[in-house]
Amino acid sequence: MILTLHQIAALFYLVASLAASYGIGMGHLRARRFGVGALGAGFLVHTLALGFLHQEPTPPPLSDLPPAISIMVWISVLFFLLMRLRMRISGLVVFVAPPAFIGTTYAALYFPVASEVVAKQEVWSHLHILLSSGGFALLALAAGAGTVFLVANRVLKDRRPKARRLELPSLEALDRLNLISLSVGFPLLTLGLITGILWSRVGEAELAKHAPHVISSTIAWGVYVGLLIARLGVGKGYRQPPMQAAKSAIVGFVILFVAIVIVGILK
Amino acid sequence: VKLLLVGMNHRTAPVAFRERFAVQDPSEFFPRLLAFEEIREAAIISTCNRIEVILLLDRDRIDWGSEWLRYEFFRQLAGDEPLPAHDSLEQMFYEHREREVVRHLFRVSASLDSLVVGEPQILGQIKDAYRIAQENKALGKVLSRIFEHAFATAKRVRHETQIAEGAVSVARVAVSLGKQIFENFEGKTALLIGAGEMIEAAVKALQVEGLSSIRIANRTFSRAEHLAAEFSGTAHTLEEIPTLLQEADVVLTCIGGDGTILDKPQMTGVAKLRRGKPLFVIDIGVPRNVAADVGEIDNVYLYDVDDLSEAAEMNAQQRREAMFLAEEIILEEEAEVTRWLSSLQVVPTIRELCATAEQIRQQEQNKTFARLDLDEQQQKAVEALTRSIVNKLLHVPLVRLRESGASEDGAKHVEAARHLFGLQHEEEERNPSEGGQGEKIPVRSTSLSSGEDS
Repeated sequence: MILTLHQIAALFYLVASLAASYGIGMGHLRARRFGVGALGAGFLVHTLALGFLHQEPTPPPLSDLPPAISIMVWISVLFFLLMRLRMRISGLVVFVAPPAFIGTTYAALYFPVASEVVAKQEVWSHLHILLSSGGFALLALAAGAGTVFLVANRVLKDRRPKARRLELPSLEALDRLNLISLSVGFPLLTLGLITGILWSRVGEAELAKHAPHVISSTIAWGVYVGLLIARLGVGKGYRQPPMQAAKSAIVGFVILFVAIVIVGILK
Repeated sequence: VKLLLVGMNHRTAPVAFRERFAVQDPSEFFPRLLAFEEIREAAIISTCNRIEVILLLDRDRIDWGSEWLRYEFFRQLAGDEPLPAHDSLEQMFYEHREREVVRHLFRVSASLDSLVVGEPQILGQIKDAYRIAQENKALGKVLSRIFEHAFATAKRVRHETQIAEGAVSVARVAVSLGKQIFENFEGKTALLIGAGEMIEAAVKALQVEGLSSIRIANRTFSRAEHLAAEFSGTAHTLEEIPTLLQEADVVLTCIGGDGTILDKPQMTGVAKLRRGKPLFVIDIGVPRNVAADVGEIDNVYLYDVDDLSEAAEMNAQQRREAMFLAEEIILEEEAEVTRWLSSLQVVPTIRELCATAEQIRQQEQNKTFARLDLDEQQQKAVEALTRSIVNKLLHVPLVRLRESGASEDGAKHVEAARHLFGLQHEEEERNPSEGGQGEKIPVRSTSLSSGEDS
């Protein structure tokens, strides 16, 4: 059931991607709205799929990559849909739906079979996965908003009206989305790191065994501390200009991606 | 009955004429229309760009209706002041009959006939015209149905085409661009440099979007004060511009004189002081008031009048392209309404045919009863027999007639039926008064189905 629901959710996300791309490219309002609707429908099915995890007598470990990615996608879509209630950012579906489709498709293909071993450190591992997935997802969204900001800025600077027909969200909305995603995502990432350390200790695993992963994650976290200080203008009295904030969000996420995903794979 | 529309619009008549015929309150003119028996239903559409009267008339009175509207009714609308020469006035009117009326109303409602194609106000104005006609009991089944179908058609056109998408005026393009920079204009500050008409139009469009604070800097301070009073803003001198720029979110410039008033070095300094806050600059002055390279500064978004005009023209072109699809939708919808109208034309003939048959049946039955001495039971049996024969004989022709009513050949079939069954023609039946002056009809009932038209 979990796999089937993931497949259905992936299908909705695919439809959302196609509708939003068509809507943005062709300036078709109804297609854009349909894209938002499909994303919402995909989210509901996705929620159902994750809900069924609790019904499994021996649920698969969340620390496996497919469930972790599924949770990450779910959190980012949830956050986006919540933000959409307050901001005119429907145009961003075109950037949110494709990764959601890829993530759920991957989860549907490689979702692990139920584990027979229920680890005693289950609580910490679940907390670690949920918090760090949430943090990662929101920081990815901040980077996405930053990327779209740079594209929208280029489009607006281009004086040819054809270039402006993409109808992206406003620069102000993108900057705000970037700030909110960073402000929520960073604490989640921090808590994810802390619970990860606690999980390692409770499991009597040697921290040193995960040393490269822990060190790289801590470095990435440190980079984000710096970015957040600059973003909020701590000590300066004024916030970082939107353009720099957009670039910082992208750079920060690239470092985080390398630290968590690449180092994790190499480990 | 026949549909007739006579009117004038922005294409056929200059504003000097249109304003003479404009109707502030159409209600006062309905009694004049409804005083005529020949006019079954009526509606008056009066907007800035058009004045049109739609009538549902008795079939043989359509020419009279056309002449009466042109030479009597519209002259009443124009008032007592002398009108231009007759010939020129005649050229300003257009006229549509029957299905052309339906198509015209659909095109107008869908904003295909508007000065700015795709503008949304016209549908509201047509709905107002419908409401006022209803309030004055001037609508019956036919015009009500056509108007309601026009609203549905307009909605379909708006949803299925890009007829209403994209701003087509310089002011609206400026607003649309601003919305790509700011989430909205609420709480934003605009600095207007200059106080001309172009600036006024742009500010009005921005104010509609919620722009709250307006500062106006002009060479002639009194003119700045005048405009500031109009828009609840503050007036400033040109020397104050550097300070005002630091607080502004939107800058609108349109001021005469040689040379630019905002150049790159000055704006770079301003941008630094603004610490990355976006600045939306619209330069509609000719010659330009802002140096072109100001647009290269980070967080400064500069557009001149050509940029805005080009975008407006591109959107207008998009709307023109959407018109082809819109026209197809209108033809589809028009065909549906025309089928319905055709189906109505057989109703009086069917009614008349049944009445004639019943009359003959009763006459012949009475003759038979007079010749034979029948008791009550026998009389009932004969009556049932004759009624059954008549019904059976008429059944197939009536079914065929109903079916053909919705087809294009409906009128021919009606004509043939009337000829075959010896029914009188409507013109022969009625004895219309020469002048067209008839009894006043206080309430418009459903004219076609009630048989009033036959």
